[in-house]
Amino acid sequence: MNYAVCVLVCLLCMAAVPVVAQQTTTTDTLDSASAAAQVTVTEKSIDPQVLMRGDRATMTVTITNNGGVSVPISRAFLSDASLSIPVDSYDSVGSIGAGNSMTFTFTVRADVPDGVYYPRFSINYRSAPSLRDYIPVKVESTELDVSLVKRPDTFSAGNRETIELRVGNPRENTINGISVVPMGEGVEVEQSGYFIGKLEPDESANVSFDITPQETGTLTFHVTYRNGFNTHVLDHTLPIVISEDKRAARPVVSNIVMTTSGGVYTLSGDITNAGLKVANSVIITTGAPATPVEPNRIYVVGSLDPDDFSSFEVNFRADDADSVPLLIQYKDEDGNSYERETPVSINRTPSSEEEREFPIAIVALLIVAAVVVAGIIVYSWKKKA
Amino acid sequence: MTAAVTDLLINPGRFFEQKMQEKESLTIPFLVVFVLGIISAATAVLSTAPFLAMLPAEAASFTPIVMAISAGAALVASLVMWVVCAVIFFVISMVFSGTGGFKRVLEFVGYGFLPQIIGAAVTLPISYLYFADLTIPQVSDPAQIEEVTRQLLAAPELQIAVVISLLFLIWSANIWIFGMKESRTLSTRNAAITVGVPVGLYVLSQLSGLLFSGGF
Repeated sequence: MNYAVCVLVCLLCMAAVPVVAQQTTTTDTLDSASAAAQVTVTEKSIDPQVLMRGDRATMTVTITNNGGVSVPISRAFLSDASLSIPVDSYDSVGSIGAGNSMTFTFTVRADVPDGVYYPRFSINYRSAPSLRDYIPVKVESTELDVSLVKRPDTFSAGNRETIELRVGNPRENTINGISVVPMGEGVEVEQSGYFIGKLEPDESANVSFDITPQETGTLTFHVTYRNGFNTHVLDHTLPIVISEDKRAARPVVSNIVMTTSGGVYTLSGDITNAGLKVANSVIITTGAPATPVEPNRIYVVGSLDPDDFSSFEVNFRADDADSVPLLIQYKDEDGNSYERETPVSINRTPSSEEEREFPIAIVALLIVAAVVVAGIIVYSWKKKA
Repeated sequence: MTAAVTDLLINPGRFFEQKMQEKESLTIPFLVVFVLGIISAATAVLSTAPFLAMLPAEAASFTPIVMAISAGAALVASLVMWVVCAVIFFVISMVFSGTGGFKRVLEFVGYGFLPQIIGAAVTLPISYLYFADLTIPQVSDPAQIEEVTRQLLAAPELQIAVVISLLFLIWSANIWIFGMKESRTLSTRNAAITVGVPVGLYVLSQLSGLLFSGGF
């Protein structure tokens, strides 16, 4: 009997437990949903703010539990169909306590065309609907602007010139670590590089380089900069074509007069600077086959301003030469040396031809003397006979 | 006196025949050679002055000394040449068994220099005109001085002056033949050989020097 009563009580209890349990679960679900509703995304940021194609960015999302109870989170993740997200999920988050904040960081890579993309940030709760938010990511590939603001009209070999570049930032975000390094063969650059640093949007900076080209070639300016932690390189090339400087000093000799005496030639004339720049340290001498001799082996004219002129005189010997080169050496304002060569004919100068005139009168005197002496000798022998 | 000079120049045979009747005297021959030496000294000064201009400025103080030395050397050279010519003629005439003393030979050789005074008087203006119009560059290198000197002396004016001097030397030689004939009692042929050989060699050497120097 007792046994039967016990079994009946147990069956009644077993029938009553599911009803109680069902009533308890419904109440808990309603509490969790209201608690999860208190969790919101309070901060979201991306660095760099604007990406270039191929850039990586760090995206940070902060959520805050504004409610009074702790909310368990099963998973947090970021998803997008276009952007590449190497690690897109936090699988073991745990619970976010009442009044606490939690930060999630993702790395995204923008191997996509320019545009605005909206990756989705999701929080999955254990017993409540998910939280979702869309974070805008802007991709814009405009590079730094490099322009040449100062350069000479022409390049001359060995002539020092100044090149000035302007580096501008047309982007919407700040660019860091900007440096300019010139490179090129056949060109000597005094500065090895120039560090500009940071450029805010729509700012620009000028940099100058002093270059001395030796031969025709290309000068490349490597502009290196960082967008966030993404390094970019931009090359700006400048063709170097060696040609004659249109404004250069141009010494011209004129009014040349040559006289000779005892095999030593004296060449005098005027030298005029027909160029537009000053010719410094102008020196005049003669080259091979001529041999400069004293007193004016070298004639130092000094400085010649444009359209200025000076007289000169040089002495030289030139055996069996029809013409000799007159060498004009001078320097520009930077100290670069130049040499011009002007051939001077020896035989065509009137003075030289006069020197070559045979002394007819003296020859006549010789003939007369010969006749007289011969006559006297003959006469003396006739007298003797 | 004038007749005697004329005889010496154009009829030396008769002049020396008369002189053989007189006592030996070196006074007039010395004066002849001395005058020749004075003209030679003047020519030396004229031709030396331009070359001294080539010397550097620091050597300019030596210019008067060098010019005096060159003038004196020219004067002494004339006197030495007189004696040397007499000795050469005397020695050569010994081959032909010449007789007569050396003083007589020296006297007659001195007379024979008279045409060269005329020759020197002719060439002196030529030298003067040439060197007076000459601009000598200033050189410091001895090699350059030598080269410049060589080129200056290769001028046609100076070459012709040398030839004129040789013509008057030949005139002197003609006189010396008659002088040696009388002073050393030589035949005309032997006297001509005595004088002609050394003088001829000298003339040939001078002409060859002119040819190789590029004067002609």
